[in-house]
Amino acid sequence: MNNSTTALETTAPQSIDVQSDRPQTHTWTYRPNVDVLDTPEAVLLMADMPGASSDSIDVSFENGILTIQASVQPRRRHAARPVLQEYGVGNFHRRFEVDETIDARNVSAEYRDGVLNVRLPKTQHARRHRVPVTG
Amino acid sequence: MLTKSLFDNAAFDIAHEMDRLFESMAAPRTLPAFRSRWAFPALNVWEDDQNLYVEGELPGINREDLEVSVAGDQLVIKGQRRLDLPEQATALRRERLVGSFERSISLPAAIHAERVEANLREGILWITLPKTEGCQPRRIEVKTDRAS
Repeated sequence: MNNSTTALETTAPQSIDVQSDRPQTHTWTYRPNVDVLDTPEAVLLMADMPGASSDSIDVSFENGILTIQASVQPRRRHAARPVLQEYGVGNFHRRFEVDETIDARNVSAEYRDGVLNVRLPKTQHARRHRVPVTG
Repeated sequence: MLTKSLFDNAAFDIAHEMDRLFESMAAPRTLPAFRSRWAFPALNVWEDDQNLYVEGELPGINREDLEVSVAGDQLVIKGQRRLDLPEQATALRRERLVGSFERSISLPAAIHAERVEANLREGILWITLPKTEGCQPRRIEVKTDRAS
C-alpha cells in the first residue's frame, strides 16, 4: 500500500462491508454524528448511535484507521400502520484516519444511553506537557 | 509522508470534511444520519386499532432532562441535552445537537392521557398512547330491510 494521499481509496474495498456481513434484507447504513474532544492525555470521540447494543457494536483500529460500526435491529411495528416517518432505522458506520500519536493498544470504548464513547489515549511523547516559563 | 491527523483543524469547515470522508471512506450506501435542525427530535408514528405509537431518537439524554406530556390532542416532547466538557478539553469537531428542544405534534386520534406510557432505552424514546373507545374502529352491524 503506498503512502500517498490516494491510499484512502485503496483501503475502502478492503473494509468490512456492514451490509454483506450478516444475512438480512436491505438496510440503509447511516453515518452517526460525532463530537471529538482533544484533552492533554487523549482524544475523546462521542458518536450518536441510538438503538444499538453493546454486543452489536464493533470498534476497530487498524492501519491508522478507526472504524466504528453497529448493526441495528429494525423497529418497525409490523402490525401497525405508519402515520409519520421522519427518519429511517439502519446500521451505523463511520471511519476516521488517525495519526500515529495515538496509543493504539489502549483504545477503549463504552456504549451508554445510545452514545458510543471512544477514548484514544495519546502516546507518551504526544501528550501535552505544560512548559514552565522562567524569567 | 505523514498520514493526516485524526481531526484536521480545517474540520470546522464541516461541508468540506464530510465530502472528503464520504468520497474516500464511506461504504457505498452510507447516508448521513438524519437530523433535522428545525424539528428535534425527529419522530416516527404508527397506529393500530388500539394505540398510537410514537418513537424518537434521543441519544445521550438523561431521563430527568426529558419531559413528555399530553394536552388535548397535542403530544409535547421537551428537554435538553447537556454535553459536559471534561477539564482542559477543546472541541475538534461538533456535530451532535446540544441544548434545549421542544416539539409538539397533533395526534390523529383521541387518546387516554392518563394511560400514556413512555420509555427511554439505549437512546430510543417509545411512547404508547391508547386510543379512546370512540376512536377505536367499531364494527357497525349492517342491517337488512327485507321487503315485506
